[in-house]
Amino acid sequence: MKMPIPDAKTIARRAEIIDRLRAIVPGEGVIVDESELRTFECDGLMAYRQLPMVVVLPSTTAQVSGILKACHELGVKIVPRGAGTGLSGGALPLADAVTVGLGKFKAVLDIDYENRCAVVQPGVTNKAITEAVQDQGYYYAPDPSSKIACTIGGNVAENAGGMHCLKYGLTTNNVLGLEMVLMDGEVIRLGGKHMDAGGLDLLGAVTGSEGLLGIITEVTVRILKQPDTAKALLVGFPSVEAGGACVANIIGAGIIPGAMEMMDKMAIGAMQQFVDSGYPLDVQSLLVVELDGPEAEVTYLTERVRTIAEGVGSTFLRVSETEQERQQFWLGRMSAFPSVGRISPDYMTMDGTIPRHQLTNVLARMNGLATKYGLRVANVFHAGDGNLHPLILYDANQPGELDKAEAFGHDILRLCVEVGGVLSGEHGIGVEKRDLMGEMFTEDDLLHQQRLKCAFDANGLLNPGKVFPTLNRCAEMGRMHIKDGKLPFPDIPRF
Amino acid sequence: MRELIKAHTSDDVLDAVQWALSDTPKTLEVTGLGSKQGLGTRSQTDGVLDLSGLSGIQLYEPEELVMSARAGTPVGEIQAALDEANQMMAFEPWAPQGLYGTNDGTIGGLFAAAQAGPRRPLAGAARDHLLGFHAVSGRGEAFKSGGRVVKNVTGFDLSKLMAGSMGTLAVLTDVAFKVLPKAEKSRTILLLGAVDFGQAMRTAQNSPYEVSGVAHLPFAIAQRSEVSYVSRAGTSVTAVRVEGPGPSVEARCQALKTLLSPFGAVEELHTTNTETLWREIRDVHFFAGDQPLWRLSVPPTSGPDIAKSLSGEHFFDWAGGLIWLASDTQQDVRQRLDGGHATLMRGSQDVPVFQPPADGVAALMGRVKDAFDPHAILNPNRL
Repeated sequence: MKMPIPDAKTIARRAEIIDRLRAIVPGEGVIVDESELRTFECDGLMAYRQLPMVVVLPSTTAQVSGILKACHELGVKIVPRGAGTGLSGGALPLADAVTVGLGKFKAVLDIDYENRCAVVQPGVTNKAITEAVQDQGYYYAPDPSSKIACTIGGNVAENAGGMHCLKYGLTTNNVLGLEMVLMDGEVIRLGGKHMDAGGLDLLGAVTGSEGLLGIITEVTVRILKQPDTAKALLVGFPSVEAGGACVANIIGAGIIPGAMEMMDKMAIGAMQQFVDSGYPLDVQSLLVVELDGPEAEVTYLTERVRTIAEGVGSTFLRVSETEQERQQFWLGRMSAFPSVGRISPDYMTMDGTIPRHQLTNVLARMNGLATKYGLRVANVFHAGDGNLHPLILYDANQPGELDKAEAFGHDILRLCVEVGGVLSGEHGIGVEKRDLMGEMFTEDDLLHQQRLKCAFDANGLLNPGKVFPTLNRCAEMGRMHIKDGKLPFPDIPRF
Repeated sequence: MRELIKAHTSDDVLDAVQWALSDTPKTLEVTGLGSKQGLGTRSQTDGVLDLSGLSGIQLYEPEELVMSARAGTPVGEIQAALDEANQMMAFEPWAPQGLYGTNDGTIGGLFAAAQAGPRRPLAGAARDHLLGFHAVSGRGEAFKSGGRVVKNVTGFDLSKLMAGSMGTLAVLTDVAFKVLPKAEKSRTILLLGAVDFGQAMRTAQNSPYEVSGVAHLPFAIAQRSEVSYVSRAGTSVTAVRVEGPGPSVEARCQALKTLLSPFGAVEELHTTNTETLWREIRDVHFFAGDQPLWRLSVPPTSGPDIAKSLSGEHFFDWAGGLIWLASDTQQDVRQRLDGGHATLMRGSQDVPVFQPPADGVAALMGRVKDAFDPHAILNPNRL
């Protein structure tokens, strides 16, 4: 993976840049010592590391604005950073850039139960939002598996998902408003406590823009009342096909479960070995289906799902009897990453989405690729929405295995695109999938995305080297190439 | 002389936009079935690009909850296909027929105008259901974004930007969107004559009973309903819709009746009446005609006070977060807002149709417009 060549002139001005930053954020908020910078050298995509030039940790919107304005004037690049849990390298530092960490923005500013929303600073963790509102019976719905550590600012930047987005939507469907700072230091507000801001939906465009459009300094999220009841079903099948058919039939019957997760034999074994969740080891695929809502609904749907599962030949079926048991059913799935970490020195988490009916085909071809590369793969996926998370097992200490694992991962993502899916369901493009964007998009597709960036950041200073495989200058992209336009229908009536 | 260009393929659209850009740039009005010509300022353009011939459902996989269609496909055709599979567009788009007395319009127009109705607080807006699109930008280049799957964070989410852009950035040629199963059963709880109806609406909305519509009709409005339980209530009517599997709907209705009974007398509507009432609310049936019509999106708690301060007739949707106001009076509706925005959906007054954004945001929107349509040839001044 190549990153843009660091600008030696910028690095040579490091002392000057540090002085400017210290004038904005006094004291320990500007980090310059190598040992301390080391903490920020990577995010959740740990295969890539780079020491940042400087790290600055502002604590007010005015400071963020001051930092961006100064860097805009100086022509210095910026890498925004939340908790650094992202899996696609969106917060990977650059040698000639200032990493702006939002970790000090930890306040819950306003909880407005009547209007079902909470206004929080970007450094508040995903889980802390739910914790702040749960005594009144509310929660924040999107639940990425890193919810204990990841922050809402990062969730917005990456449009984070989670197990429950099948029913409750991704981050983008649960954010009502933002305050953000543009690269030139201007502070803008989008949306608010009402629905659907007027004019162009910039709020929607900013969500999931991976730190390329601005720095988020405040987020208004929608909170929901917790459902009365939730039950989980563990359903095992003698084949992947049967598991896939069960998922298709549940959705086909008009049932949208709160969550519907699937795992293959390799993943089941790893999880059950890591923590006892009651997973059967003699099945080829396992579903965890969560049904939530009023008790009458949960009871009714549980029976319908049971009938559907038995109809496609399930060989194992248990319904959680208690809340404790429901949580136990989830424990294995929630521990997918450490479980796989236990059976392999290293693993790579992939993230693609496919049309659900392609599941069996894609898994079969993925197993073929595993044989070709001589690597193992464990599969967990958000079955309800076709979002795959193949975990490629490798050993970084074996020469060439990392490269092999990466090539395998790229083949999996190409396969996802080939069958009508996409490169990323919820982890983002970052640097990890940047060079695969051409698999899904034409040059004109990518240029239109990049021109949106130009409207926000004309000098390309925010998070360069991420998302887009080529760095284009805005001025060049602005040129028009129009062929001789001929009136297409010379003989049609005119008025 | 105005050129009328009727497109039958996406290449026709590309040709048309390139023609408009050649020599001296020429402006284009982008139209489908003309159902929403009453919405937004229309300027005299050099040409009209008619997409009604760019029609047809391209893909419909009910078990995958996805449909894609060419932009000029009539919404009626889409609805018919969805009805056959017992599915729906869950965001409940309002019908232009109701607001403008025209027709149901095209699927491209539906997303371009971001039409969404009573189920919006539960199910999301049009933008939340648009999964991907193909379009030709004002630069005369064909491009796409998104895809056909729900979970997708590959690149910038330009679908959000297109939804509600009123055709001012690009001409949509194909849209892919999410569809959902229709509910097995639907019921409506009616709360009659509630004095504190604002609190009652929020109590229902914020309950764990997953209500799919919360509206309030003042007495004068309720009288215009075709549902006799509503028109003959003799007082104001607060309506709460509950949808889902049979046993669930019954249990939730029971719980909601208990929850709402301190606010007034409660009654229950069954399927047919529920359908009629919510169609009336969605399509603003109560304000048919050509009286100026405002749509105000506000925080639900501010809805009742804002409505009280404005002259004209009104009713509420979205638990108070949406006010429909019909009024001939020239009044500064936007000055009453405390957060939120107002759109003049119908009629003309001496104010912009769409809420002018704050300065910084307006400048940014201007730059976005320039990025996609640098010569401002598409639907000039429409948004």
